[in-house]
Amino acid sequence: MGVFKNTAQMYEVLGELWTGLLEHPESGPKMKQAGLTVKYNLTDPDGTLWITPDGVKTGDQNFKADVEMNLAADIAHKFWLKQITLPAAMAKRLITSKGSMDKVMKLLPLLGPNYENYPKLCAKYGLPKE
Amino acid sequence: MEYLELDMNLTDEQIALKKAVHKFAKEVIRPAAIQLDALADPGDVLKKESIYWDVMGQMKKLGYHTVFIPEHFGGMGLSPLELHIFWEEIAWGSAGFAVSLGVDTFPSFFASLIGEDALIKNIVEPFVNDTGCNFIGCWAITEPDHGSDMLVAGTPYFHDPKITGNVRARREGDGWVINGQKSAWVSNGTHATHALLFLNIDQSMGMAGGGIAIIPLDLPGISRGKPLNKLGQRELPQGEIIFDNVRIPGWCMVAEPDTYEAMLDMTLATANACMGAFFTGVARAAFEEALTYSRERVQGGKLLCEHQLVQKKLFEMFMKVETCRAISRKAMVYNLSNTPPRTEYSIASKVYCTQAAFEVAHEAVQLFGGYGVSKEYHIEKLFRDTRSALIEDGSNDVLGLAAAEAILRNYGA
Ligand SMILES: Cc1cc2nc3c(=O)[nH]c(=O)nc-3n(C[C@H](O)[C@H](O)[C@H](O)COP(=O)(O)OP(=O)(O)OC[C@H]3O[C@@H](n4cnc5c(N)ncnc54)[C@H](O)[C@@H]3O)c2cc1C
Repeated sequence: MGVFKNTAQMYEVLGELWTGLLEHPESGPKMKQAGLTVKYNLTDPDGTLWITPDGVKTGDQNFKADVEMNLAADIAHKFWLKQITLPAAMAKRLITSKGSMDKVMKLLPLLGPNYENYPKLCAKYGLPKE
Repeated sequence: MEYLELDMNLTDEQIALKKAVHKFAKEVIRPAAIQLDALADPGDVLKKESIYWDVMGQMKKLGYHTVFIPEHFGGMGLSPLELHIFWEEIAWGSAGFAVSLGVDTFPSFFASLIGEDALIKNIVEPFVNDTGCNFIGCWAITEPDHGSDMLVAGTPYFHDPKITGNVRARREGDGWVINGQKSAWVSNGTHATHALLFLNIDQSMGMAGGGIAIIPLDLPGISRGKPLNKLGQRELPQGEIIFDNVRIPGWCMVAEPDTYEAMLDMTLATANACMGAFFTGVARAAFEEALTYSRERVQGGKLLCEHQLVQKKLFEMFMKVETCRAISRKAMVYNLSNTPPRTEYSIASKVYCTQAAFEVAHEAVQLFGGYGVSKEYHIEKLFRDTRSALIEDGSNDVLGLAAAEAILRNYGA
C-alpha cells in the first residue's frame, strides 16, 4: 500500500505543495519567470501533475512539457521529505527524466519552500513521515 | 573556411556562438597547441611561462570553463546542442586543449548536478569565479592495472570480487581515508587542483563496489608523477596521482556503491558524447587541411584536386565529417536531455567519430605525400592526435562490447 490513498488525495497534497511554491513571495515570481512547464508522470497511484507558470494542473492536458519526470508517488513523497536526493534517485532509476539537465537544474534552487512545507502537509493529511 | 550548417533551426545566438568560438580556436588555441606539441619535454608544457597557461587563462576569462554549469550558479549553462557546437569548434583548434578544458569542468559539473550546499560553496562557486587558473579539474579513473576494467560498467566481470580498483577509500569517523594510485593517463593529473575521483569502497562487490569523490588535490598525502611523454595530444598534460592515507571530509564522497554503477554509466555517456563532438571537429580540421593542400599542390600538370581519384577521396572525407556531426549532435542532445541516458548512442558517437577522424587524417597524410609525415605540416599532428583518440576515454573495442550488450538489452525490448 502506497503513501497516498488514491489519485485524488495525491493531487490534493502535491497540488497544494506546488501551488504554495508558485505563490511563495521569493520563489513564486522566479518560477514564473523561468517559464518552464514540468510534467510529472506519477505511478501507484497513477496520475499526471503539470507545474506551469500559470498554476498547477492535473490529468491529461494540451501543454508541451519542457521537462518530464517519471516516478512513483512514494518516491515523490520521499524526495520532498529529503529522504532521497535527485541524483541518487536518478542513478537508481527511481526517477527518469526527459528535458535538458540545465532546465531541471534551473528549478532546483527554487524548491526550498517545498521542503519546508511538505512535512506540514504530511501532518495535515495524515501521511507517514518515516 | 566555413562549413554549410545543415541545421536550419539554429538561432542567431547559436550561430554567433559558433563564430566566436571558432575565431578563438583559430587565433588562440591552434597556434598555441602547435607550439606546445613541438616541445621535446612534456614537462615544459606546464612551465610558468608556457603558453598553456595563457590559453587556459583566456578560456577562463571568457567563461568557457563553465559551459556545463547552470546559469543560476553563474555558469554559461549551454543547451546540449550549444555544447556540441562549442566543443566541435574548440577541438577543431586542438584535441588536447578540448580534453584539458573538458576534464577541467568535470568535478564542478558533477558538483552542480548534485547541488548540495557544501559542494556549491567549496567546488562550484570557486570554479565558476576562477579567472586565473587557480581551480583546475581532472577526472581520475584509470589506474596502472585497470583501464577498460574500471571505465565500462555492465561487463561480465564488473561484479567479480577478484577484480577491484587499486585506489580505495575506507570510512573513518565522518570522513574517508584514501590510498592508492591513479595512472599517468589522467588528463590534467599533473597540475589539477581538484579531482573527480573514481575509487573502490566495497571490494566484495568487485568494480561495482565503487564510489565517487570530489576532492581538492592539495591535501596531505597526495603526490604526483612526472608529465607523461606520448604520441599525440602533446599539448594536453597528463600524469599520475598518488594517495597515501589522504583524509577527506564526508561531503566530498558524492556516490557510494549503491549508486556507483549507474553514475559511472552516466559519466561515460557524457564523456563519450563529448568525445564524439571533439573528434567531429578534429575530422573536419584534417579534411580542411587536405582540401586546402589539394587546391595548391600541382602534380602531373594539374592541381591535386583536379585529379578524379583525389576528388573521390575528398568526397569520402567530407562524407565522414558530415556523418560524424550528424550522429554526435544527436547523441549529445539525446543523452544530455534524458536520464538515464542511452549510453550505447554516446559510445556509437565516440567510436564512429574517433575512427572516422583517424581515417580522414590518415587519408589526408597520404594526400600530402612526403610533406604529410613532416613536422612542418599540421596534418602530421592531427594524425597523431586522432590515433590516441581510439584509446582515450575507453578503447574503441571495449566500448563496442559494452554498447553491444546495451543494444541486445534495449533494442526492440
Ligand atoms: C589521450 C588520452 C587521454 C586520457 N585521459 C584520461 C583521463 O582524463 N582520466 C583517466 O582516468 N584516464 C584517461 N585516459 C585513459 C584511458 O581511459 C584508458 O587508456 C582506456 O580506458 C584504456 O585503458 P588501458 O589503456 O589500461 O588499456 P587496457 O584496458 O589495458 O586495454 C588494452 C587492450 O586490451 C583490449 N581489451 C581490454 N579489455 C578487453 C576485453 N574485455 N575484451 C577484449 N579486449 C579487451 C583493449 O581494447 C585494448 O586494445 C586517457 C587515455 C588517453 C590515450
